[in-house]
Amino acid sequence: MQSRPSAAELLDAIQDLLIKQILPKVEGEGALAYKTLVSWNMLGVVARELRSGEALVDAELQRLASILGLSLPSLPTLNDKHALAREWNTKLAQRIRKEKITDDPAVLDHVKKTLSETLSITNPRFSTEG
Amino acid sequence: MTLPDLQAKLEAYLSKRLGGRAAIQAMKPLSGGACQDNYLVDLSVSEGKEAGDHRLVLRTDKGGSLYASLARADEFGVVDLAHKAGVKTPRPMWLERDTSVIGHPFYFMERINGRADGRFIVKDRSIQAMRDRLPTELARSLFRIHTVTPESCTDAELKRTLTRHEGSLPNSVALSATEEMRRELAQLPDAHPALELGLNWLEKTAPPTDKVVLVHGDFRTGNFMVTPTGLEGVVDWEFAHWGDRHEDIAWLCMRDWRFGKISKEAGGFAGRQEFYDAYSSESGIKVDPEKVRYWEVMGNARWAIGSAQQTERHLSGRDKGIELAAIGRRMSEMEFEMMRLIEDAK
Repeated sequence: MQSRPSAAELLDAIQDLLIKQILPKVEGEGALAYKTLVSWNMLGVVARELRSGEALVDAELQRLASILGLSLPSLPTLNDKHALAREWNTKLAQRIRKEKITDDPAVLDHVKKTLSETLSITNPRFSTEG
Repeated sequence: MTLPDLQAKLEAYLSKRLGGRAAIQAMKPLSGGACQDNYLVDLSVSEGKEAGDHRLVLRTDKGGSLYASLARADEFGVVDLAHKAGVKTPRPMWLERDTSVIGHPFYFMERINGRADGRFIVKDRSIQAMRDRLPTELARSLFRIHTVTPESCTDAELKRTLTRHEGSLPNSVALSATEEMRRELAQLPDAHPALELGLNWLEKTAPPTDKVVLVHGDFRTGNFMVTPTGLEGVVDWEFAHWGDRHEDIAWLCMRDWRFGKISKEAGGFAGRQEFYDAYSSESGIKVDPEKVRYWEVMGNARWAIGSAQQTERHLSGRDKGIELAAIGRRMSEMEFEMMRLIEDAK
C-alpha cells in the first residue's frame, strides 16, 4: 500500500495551504476567516491523533483495566480499542454515579491523566500544569 | 421568506400598530447564532406617537432552540424588567406574539453603538482606559440585574417560565442546577467520567443561595457592547432565569471566555478580585469567593455539556458546519478546568 506522504504528512501539507494561501485571501471576510482558522486547528488535532492517539488509548485501557478489575483482551485494530474504551468508560461512569465517588485517588488520577493526554492532542498549548 | 417579503410584512404591521406610515429605509441580516434571527432596521414613521426616524434591531426566531433558552416573548419580558431596573441594555419595544405576521414572535429594540467581539475588548490598546473602568460599569449593571426578583415580577407566567429550581431548601437553586446537568449529561451519546465526578462534587457541596434573583445566564465577554467611552449595553438574554447571583459572577470569570488573556480572570479584562470588589462596592453585598468557585465548577460543567450538544447538532445533520464540529473536541478543556477548580477548593 502506498504510504508516502503519510496520512499525518498530508494533513500537514493541507494545514500549510490553509494558513499561508487561503487565510490571507479570506482575512477580510469575518466568518470565513474564522472557519478557516478552526479548520487549520482541527487538521492539527487529527495529525496529532494519528501520530500519538493509539499509544494514548492503550494507556487509557491499561488504567481502566486496573480500576475496573478487568483483563485486557486481545485487540487487533484501533477501532477495537476505541470500542472497548467506550464500553469501559461507560462502566466507570456508572460506577462513579452509583457510588457517588468524589475522592477515590485511583479514579481521580486516571480521569485527570486521561484529560491531560486528550489535551495533548486537542490543544497542546492548554496548560495542564499547576 | 425573502428579505423584501419580510420588509413588506413588517411595514404593513408597523403602519397599523404605530398609526402612521412606516417605511423601512434599510434592513440587513445580522449573524444571530443557532436559533435567533436578528436584523438591523432603519425605520421612518410619518406620524403618530412614534413619528420620526428609528435605528433598531429586530429580534425573532429561526426555529430550533437550545436547551433552556427563552422564547422571544419571554426574552422581551426579561429585557423589559432589566431595562426598567436601570441595567444598561437596549430598550425593548413593540413585542408581537402573533406568529401570523412573520411566522415567529418578534420584537424590536433600540440599536446601541459599540462592539461585542471578545478579542477586541480584551486586547485592543486604544481602549485601555475604557477597560480600566469596565469592572465598575459591568458590576453596576450586573448588580441592577440582580435587583430584579421573583417577588418584584408581576407577570405570573413570566415568573413561572424563569423558574428553573424546585424545592425550598436554602441550597435548592444549586441542587436543582446539578440535577438539570445530570439530566442533560444522561442524554449525551458517550460517557464522561470527569463530569460524573464533577456533578457528584456539585451535589455534595451545594451551597445556600443568599437570595433568589434574576440571573442573566450568559454574562460574559462577548455579550456586552463597548465603545472607547465605556459600556454601551448588556445583550443576549435568552438564558435568563431566577437563580444565584454568584452564577453570573462565576460565568464572567470562566477560563474559556478570556479570549487569550488567561491571567485576567474576570472576562479577560480584569483580575477576579477586582471584579468582586467592584460588585461589592456597587451592591453593598460581599461576594463569597467559595460560592463563586462552586458556580464556576457548575459553569464549566454546563459549558462542557453544552459544547457536546453543539457538536451533536453537527453530527446529527441538524446544523452542519466546522465550528460546531470542532467544538466537541474542546470539551476536555472545560472538564479539566472543572476538575482543577474542585481540587483547588480542598
